[in-house]
This record gives sequence, structure tokens and C-alpha cells, in this order.
Amino acid sequence: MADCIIHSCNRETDQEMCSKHRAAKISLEDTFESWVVAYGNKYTWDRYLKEITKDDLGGVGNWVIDIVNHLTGVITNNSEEDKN
Amino acid sequence: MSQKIRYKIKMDKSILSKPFIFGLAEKPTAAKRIAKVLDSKSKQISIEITRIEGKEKFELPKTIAHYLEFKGKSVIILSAFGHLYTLVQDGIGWQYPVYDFKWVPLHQIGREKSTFQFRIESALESMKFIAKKAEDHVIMTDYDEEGEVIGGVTLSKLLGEKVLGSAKRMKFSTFAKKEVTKSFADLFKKGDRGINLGMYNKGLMRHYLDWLWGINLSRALMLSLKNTSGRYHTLSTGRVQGPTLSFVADREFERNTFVPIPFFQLNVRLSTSKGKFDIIYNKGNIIKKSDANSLRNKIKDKDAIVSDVVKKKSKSKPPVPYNLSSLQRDAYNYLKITPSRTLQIAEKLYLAASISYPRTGSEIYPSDLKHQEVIKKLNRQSGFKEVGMQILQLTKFSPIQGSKTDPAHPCIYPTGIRPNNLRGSDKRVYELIVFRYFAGFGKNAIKESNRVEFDIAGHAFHLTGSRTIDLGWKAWAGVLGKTKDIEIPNFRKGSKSNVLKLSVSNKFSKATPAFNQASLLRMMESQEIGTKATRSEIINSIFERKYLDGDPIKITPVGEIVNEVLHKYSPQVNSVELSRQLEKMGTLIENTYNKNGSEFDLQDALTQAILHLHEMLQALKFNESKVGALITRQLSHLRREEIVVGECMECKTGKLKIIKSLSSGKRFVGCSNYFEDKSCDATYPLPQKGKLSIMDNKCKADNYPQIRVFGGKKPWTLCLNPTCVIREEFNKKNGKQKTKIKGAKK
Repeated sequence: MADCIIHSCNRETDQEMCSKHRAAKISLEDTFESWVVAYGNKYTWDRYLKEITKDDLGGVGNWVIDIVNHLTGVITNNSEEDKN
Repeated sequence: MSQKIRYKIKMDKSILSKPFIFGLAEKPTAAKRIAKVLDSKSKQISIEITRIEGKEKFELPKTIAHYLEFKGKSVIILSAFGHLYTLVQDGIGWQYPVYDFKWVPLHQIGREKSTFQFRIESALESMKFIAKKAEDHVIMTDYDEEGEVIGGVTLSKLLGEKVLGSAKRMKFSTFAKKEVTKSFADLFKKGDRGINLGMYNKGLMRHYLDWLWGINLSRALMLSLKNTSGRYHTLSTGRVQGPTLSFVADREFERNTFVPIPFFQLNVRLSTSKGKFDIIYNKGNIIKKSDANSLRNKIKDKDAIVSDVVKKKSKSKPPVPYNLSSLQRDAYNYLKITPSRTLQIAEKLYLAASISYPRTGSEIYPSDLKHQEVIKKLNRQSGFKEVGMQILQLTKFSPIQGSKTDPAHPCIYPTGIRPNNLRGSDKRVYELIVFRYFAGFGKNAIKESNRVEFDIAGHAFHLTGSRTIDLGWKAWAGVLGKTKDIEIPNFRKGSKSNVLKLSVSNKFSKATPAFNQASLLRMMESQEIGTKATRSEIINSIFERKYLDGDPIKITPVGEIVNEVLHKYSPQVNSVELSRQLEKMGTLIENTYNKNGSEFDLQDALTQAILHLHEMLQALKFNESKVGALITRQLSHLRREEIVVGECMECKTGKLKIIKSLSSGKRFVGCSNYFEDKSCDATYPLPQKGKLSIMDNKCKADNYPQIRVFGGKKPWTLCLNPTCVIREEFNKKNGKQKTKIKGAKK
């Protein structure tokens, strides 16, 4: 058993994430399809992650925001590694 | 060795010299009311009781009895204070499972006795003394499960089980003179006038199950924590509490994993000779942005032509009378008064004889209720005259009624008896009940709705408006009758209008709203858990245990721990299905004891329930170390989130933190080493009010950490050291007392 990969979460899990954050991640991934339908095929995952945490959107679940913060952190690190 | 206890009773014993009837009311106010109603010359008898234990004598508080005469019969009424007996474990040891229990008088609970317990002891001894001498016994408690249990248990404990076969039962729904008098007089007529054994046994079942669930599951949680980490923390759950907490937790789960879905709306503003109007696209929300833009382009610069005008009249029936659920719902929706508070107020109004019994599911008036008389009486109360006079003009007084019934009581209605000194929420709830009653006499309210259809380049849009033609019942309904009209002018078919503004707006779907007290109550009702009389109290008790908080309701971290542990290791505890199944056993029991064809007695119910409970407890026992570890971990995490004030001045290794007690909610400063290995127990009290801010600089006198307190007239600095010279000077100046050092408990 290890800690959930989300920094602010203290739950133990035998997977990468605890069950709550896993559910939030699935919800985030599933809903992306609806956003692509709404905004067109050129709509990207990165843009989705950026827009989903905008203040004026409201109503986004707290665990979803944890996931987005976690994922955007990973993206930033990768981008910097690429640059190097 | 403890000495034998005996009691010395001093009272006017002449009233016991002739045959009399013993009456047991539920509360002192009820006893007084019944006595006055049955005999306006009734008198209060003071009973003085001394407890004698060896050489020690102790004067208990006086008990008041009411003596009266009714049609040649002498009656002495004494009062309970709600329950006088409670269930406790039969045996010793703080372990689980525990399936043996017994009733004991409330005053025998605990080592330290409260004044209330002394009052109970006095009342019970008075009852024992008087009831034994009585020729007949009448239960006068509220006619419901709780009242039946209070009356039945008290009498059977005082006089033995046999009394349940002979005791009489008064049944009334209001404290109005006529009803109480009739109810008492009827006791001496032919027919079954005894205790409702169905209701009594159903009530007993509920008490037994609630006790079994509460004691065993709470101990299972707390012992898991203690046996795993040696720590203690109050944790509890219950038969209905578990599923209710789980509703909130599930809703939070839904909201925490929610991602909004985008959609688009076309905003079209028309400019007409009659004004400017926003019209709505008939097909509603548009899923794709490209479709919305394309539609906008298609209708750009085109005229809107009125294709149809539809006028419809709609009737709205007067509302049916209140039962407890609908009253609690309206009080929350219109007045923002919580369901449990509404019940408290309604009970107060009932005891004042101003409304009928509130714990009812019925929407039906008693057939013999004289509405005209009630309205005449209400007319004399301030605020109701105007509407009352209009209702009195009617030729027929037959208000609307609903379809729901209750075997014990009618709907909630005002009696016409003026409540004294009503203020604030009490007054507003009373007005709600009176206006709802008035509204029931009104005719249908009639509204005309207008829908104008527009065609813009082959695409359909509409505009709607409405206006009240006849207020009907709404004119008599006070706050319940408020209505809003959206008036639109008459449009002619074929007329053209310009599109003044055209835009596409990007909207997002919304998460299901968090529960408030009214919607949580509705959820419990729809899932059929708890009863109309207990639901709001269960919600209240979960709030008191600090598992729920706020409005809208949020689950607290401790509430989340309890819910998560049970969900993971004993999900049946949170099962709605099981809770519902147990409620249904109550109905079977009621039918059995009321001889309605069922053969399922109290013992059967207990056996079945214990089988379920045993399974749940076994699951928790089997996983005890995991349960304990999970609770420990979650509680420690909560502790870690606390604010660090500085280094511990006593052990020098720990960190001083601002800690909020998870049980009492009080804040204090404590050393982190207490939570690690209990090696340091330094604690410092904090003011319970005002904002706190940690100061960078230490106290000049003793180098202790300092906290700035923002509260009162101006902010002030608090050195944590209670014996600090500067602090003592400050206290002297401000007339404050010296603070104790280890004043707070962990």
C-alpha cells in the first residue's frame, strides 16, 4: 500500500491514486469527449485542462481540480525536460 | 457496602383517602393543561421527598401533582419529563457485541447527578407512591409511538407488566377543552380503551434497535482505534444515522468528481413597437458551438414573424392541510427555519393548545371539527382578522383535504386558541400554519399564460408571459400566496419585429446542489428511512455530533472518516435497504399486536435484527486492525493540517500547534509530540472567539511564542505562557483572571 499520488491526499491505495481521485480522473477523461463535441475536433486536452480550472467556470469538483493540478504539473515538467 | 435507599414522602395525604384515578402526562405543561381543562378548579399538590441512605438525608426537588374532580371521580395527574427510563447494557464491560439490555431510571445513570436527574428521581418516587394507591391508571401522554413507550414503560416499571392490560389510554390530538374532556369521558364508556399495544411494541422495537445499533457499532469503531493505536476518539453511528450520513457523502462524491459540460444558447432580443423582448429558441440548448454559430448566421438580419399566439388558462388548487413533513418543508423554504426547529416550535404551539398534534402524516381534518368556530376565534387574533372576515362570508365551510392519512392523528390545524407572547420564528411558524389553513377554504387561483411563437428564417422561437386573473386561495395564504406575473403585450399573428441583438452564449451544466436540511429530509422520506417524527431529530443529532456542518450541508472530516470506514469494511451499516427493511418489521409488529393478521412479534424482530447486526459487527471485528489503522491515519492527517505556532517550550523537540478539538470544537495550543508518542502533554488555553494570527517575534519577558488576537474592541497580544509577567500585568489592567496552565484537554 502506498499514498495516493495526489499531494494533498492522504489516502492509502494499492494503485497510483485513491478511489476518489481515480473516479475524478475518469470523470475528467470521460467529459473531455463532450468538450470536443462542443468546441470541435481541434480542441486539445491541454486546452481543456487549462479551461477547466478557470474561476468563472465554477462547479468543477475539488478532486477533479486536484487531478488537473497534478496533470498540469506533469506537463510543465515534461515540457521543461524537452527543452533541455 | 452501599446502604439501602428509602424515601420519606410528605404531602397532603387526605386526597389519597378516597378512591382516585392516577394520570400520567408526558410533560409538566401537558399535565397542567389537562388538569385545568378537566376541572377549572383543579389544584396543585406539592410533594416533598427525602432520600434516606443510612444516616444521610437528601432533599429532592419537589414534585407537583394536579388534583381534580371530574364527574364525581377524583383524579391525580403527575408528569414525566419525556422519557424517565433509558436502555443500558445488562452486564459489565466496555466491549462488543452486546445484545443484553434493560430499562433503568434515568436518574441512576452516571456518577455525577444533575438537577434534572434529581427531578426525575423525585417524580418517579412520587408516582410509585401515588400510582400504587390508585384504583385506575390512565396514560395521558401524546398519542404516538414515543408517548406509548413513555407511558407503557413507566407504568410497567412502577406497577409491573400486568398494568398494561388494565391501564386506560386517553387519545386526543389537541389540548382544546372539548377534545380533552371527551377523550377522558370516553374512557369510562364501553369498548377498548386500553393502551395501543401495536404502537407500544413498535415503539419498543425502535428503541431496542436504535440502542443495539448505536452502542455496538460505535464501540466497534472506537475499540478498533484504541486496540490499534491506543488512542481514544468519540466516534458513533446509528441505524438511521449511517444511511443519512451516507446520502451526504454520496452527494459530495458526486459534486467532487463533477466536470461541467459546455452547451450554447442563442440570445435573440426583439425590438417591437411594444418594447424589447428576449425570445427563446424552441429547440433549447445547442450542443455544438459550430451549430450555434451557423444558426446565428442564418437568422442574422432577418425579421421575426409572429407565427402563433396561444393563450391558456391554468388553475392552481388550494394547498392541502399540513402534515409534519410539508410544514417542515415550507418552514425551511419560506422562512429558512430548520426542520428540527420547526418541530420544536410546533410542539410548543401544541402544548399551548394553539395547534393540533404536529407529529402526524395526515392531510385530513377531524370530521367533527367546527371550522366556523375556529375561524371566528382566529379572527380575534391580530393579523388574521382581514382574511378571517372574508372566509366567514362563505356559505359553506369545507376546506380542501389531501389523501394521506395517519391512524393516530388528523392533519395539523390551528385550534383558534391564542398562543401567548409569540415572537420571532415561533410567530412566523404559527402564521404559516394559520394561513395554510385559511388557504384551504379558498377557490382555485387562475393564471393566464401567453405563449407567442416566432419564426425567423424557418427557425422557431418563443416568448412566454403570465398574469394572474384570479388570486383565489392565494389571497388568503399570506407568504404562501406570493405570486409573480410576467406580463407581455398582445402580439398579432403575422406581425413582424426586428432582431435587435443576436449573440451566442457559452454555458455549462451545473452540479447537483448540495443538500440543505429540507432536501436531506426529503431524501430520507423518499428512501423511507426513519419516521416523520424522528427524521429531523436524526439530522440534528448528526449536526450535534459534528459529522455534518453548514448550509448547504457539508460532511466534516470526522464525518467522512466514519462514513468511509463503514463503507469500506461494513457497508450494510450504511445500507438504505436494510434500514427500510427494519422499518417494515415495525409495521408487521404493529399488525401482530393489534391483531391484524400478522404473526411477527417483538422477539422475532429482535432475532432478525441481531442476526443482521452480528454480521456487520463480525466484519468490523475481522478487519479491526485495518479499521483502526484507517481511522488513525485519517485523524493524524487532520492533526497534521494544524497551524504551527512555534517550538515546544517544555520538551524542546515537539512543535506547538493550534488544535481544534474534533469533539468539542474548542481550540487550544498543544505539543505535536502528544500525537506522536504521548511524550509531551504541554497545552495552553486560547480565547475561543476572534481571529488568531501567529506573531514572528517572541515574548520579550520569557521568549514564548505570541499570538495576536483579533476580537473585541481592538486586537491584543497573547503570550502563550500563562505565568508571563507582561501577560499578568495586562490581565490586571483589564481586570481579567489569571489563566490556568493546563486548561485544555486533548
